[in-house]
Amino acid sequence: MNNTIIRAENIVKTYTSGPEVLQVLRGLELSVRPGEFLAITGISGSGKSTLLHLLGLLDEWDSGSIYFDEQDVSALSAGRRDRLRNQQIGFVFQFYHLLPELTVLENTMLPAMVGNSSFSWLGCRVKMRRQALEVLTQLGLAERAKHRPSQLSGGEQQRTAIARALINKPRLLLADEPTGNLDVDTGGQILDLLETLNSQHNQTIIMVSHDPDIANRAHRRLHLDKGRIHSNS
Amino acid sequence: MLHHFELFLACRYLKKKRLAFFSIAAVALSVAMLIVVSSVTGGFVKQYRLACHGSYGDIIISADSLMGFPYYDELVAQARELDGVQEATAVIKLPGLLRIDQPGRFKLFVKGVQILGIEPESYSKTTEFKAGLWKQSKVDGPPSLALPDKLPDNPYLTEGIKPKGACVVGVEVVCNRSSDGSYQRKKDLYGSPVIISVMALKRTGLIDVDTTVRYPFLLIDDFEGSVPLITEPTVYIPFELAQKMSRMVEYSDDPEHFEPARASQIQILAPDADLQELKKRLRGIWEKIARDNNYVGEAMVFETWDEQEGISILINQLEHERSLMTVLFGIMGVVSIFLIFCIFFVIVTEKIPDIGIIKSVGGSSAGVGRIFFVYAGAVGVVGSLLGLAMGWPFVVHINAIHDWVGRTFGWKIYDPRVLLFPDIPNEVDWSATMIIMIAAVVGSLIGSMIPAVRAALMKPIQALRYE
Repeated sequence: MNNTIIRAENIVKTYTSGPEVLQVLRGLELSVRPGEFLAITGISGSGKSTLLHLLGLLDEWDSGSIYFDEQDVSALSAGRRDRLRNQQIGFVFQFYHLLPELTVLENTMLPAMVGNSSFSWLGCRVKMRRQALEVLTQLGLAERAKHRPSQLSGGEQQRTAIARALINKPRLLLADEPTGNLDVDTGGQILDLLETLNSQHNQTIIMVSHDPDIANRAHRRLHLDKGRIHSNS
Repeated sequence: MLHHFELFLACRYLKKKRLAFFSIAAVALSVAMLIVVSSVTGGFVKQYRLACHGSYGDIIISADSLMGFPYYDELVAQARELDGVQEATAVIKLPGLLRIDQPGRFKLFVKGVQILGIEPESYSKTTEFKAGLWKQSKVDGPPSLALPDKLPDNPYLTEGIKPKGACVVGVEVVCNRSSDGSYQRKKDLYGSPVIISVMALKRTGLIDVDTTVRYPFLLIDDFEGSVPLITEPTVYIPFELAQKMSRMVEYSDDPEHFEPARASQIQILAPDADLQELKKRLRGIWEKIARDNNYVGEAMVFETWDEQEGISILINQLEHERSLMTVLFGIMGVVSIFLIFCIFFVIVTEKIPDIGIIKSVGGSSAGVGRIFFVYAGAVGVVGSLLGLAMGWPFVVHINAIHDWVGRTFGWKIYDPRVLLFPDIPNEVDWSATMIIMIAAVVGSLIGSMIPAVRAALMKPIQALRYE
């Protein structure tokens, strides 16, 4: 129980649209150990992305608890949740979600900028820039550092999003259909990259996908159905 | 505490979002317009103040009666001894008629005027009288109202019309003003005789109906004051002659009844003195003189130059008009604030996905709101600076621009015949400009407030899913 990086207990999440009430998560239980590469599968609308957003503290849940490092995050203030998200959690989205006005390098450095005041940024600017370039080099994007997202291919944009997610060296990487918008070859390269991050850097990854073949690349697979987790392997 | 990403993104949006240029243009135009309006109207107020001040000393002591007041010479002498007083001069003021009759040259001309009896030397030290004289301003030394040693060769200077002294007329009395604000002088008039008539007052204050005082004078010069419309048409004659014509000379009809000479006014130059304090001291001196001479006479009025009734009303009116104009044009600035609100609402809507991304990497709600505040502040600062860059040269070159518009399109907006000054004021009012620029930045922030709060309150997941 103590050896988890993130744990969800009896999570309930409901969406209301007018008179309609849709309970997406119904007492969901989940625990993830450090260094795990976990895939969560499920059909469209099963609540995979909702779960990922809750684990990443991007959304509120109705009841239940989420523990990060065994600390109940529902007890944290909004500011501390923001800091936790900034320092400990990295996101990779299906549609990349890069800022179009920024270059690849600037998009990569964005979480580092968010985490520093104007004064502290003056002191760490050079270091963070070097760190961002190192990550981009590892991901094969060094030559593209000054390009804007509109000048990149889908695979390059997703690698930029991964670089951004890794810049603050988060303990948990959340990937929401990371290959969903890519062709098979490029998607395979992204999955290779995630596997490498997990195996070589012991990066904890939770990935959601509707595709069982993609989910098979993870070490552990869980299936989300009717608002609850079912073990696949 | 600002985070780096707030400044960074605000600056980046400012550079990349063309929509923001419309906000900047709106702020710039409003700022430029207000700088021009405020500087020009403020310039008029300043010019009026300077012009009015130049026509008087700093303090004016007058009797609240056409009869004038005695012991003026003692008061002038003691005033001159006071710290801070540079000069003091006595003046006689009385209503009169100016008549010019030169058949064949000028048709009969009679005009009601204010006669000012002055001591030219001390009066020109106390006021800007010399600077306004057409001829004598160009001559070294104090101005004079003495007759020349040899009278000019003028057919109208006959035996019957021997001038008692020289006079200077206010330029507006005898000259017409052309459309460019300059006066068209009738040069033959200078060196000609004029007749000045006044109604003599008895010591009882009644008009002496049996006597009309009528003196011929030699017209030697004219005086172009800065504010002719607020002063009555004036003719300047020597103090002693004015005193004689108005019967304010010393008077004794029997050895036991003696009345000293009188004056209407004393003007005092004390540019560096505390005028309110000086007024009190002068009043004290006057009260002592009156007490020592057992004089119980007219109420005396001690005023600073801008406390005089006509001037204070005019300057107050001008300042109110200036405020009104600035407020009216400021209302147009409010339109800019609304424009900024609309533009920022569109920008924030367009940037909703960015807001989601920023929050997903740990950006706080306050931080997201501050991006748009800083952005709006930057729009305000850049707009204000651009407005300054447009408004400043416009004000400085406003007369050249006005002339060019007049020549090219035939539009002549400024008429110096109406507004008294030959040129439109062209000095930037920097204190008003600073206030306008700060108000523009604050206005920009107000305009962006609702969109920024909307951005800040947006839930990250809503923003990420926004299409």
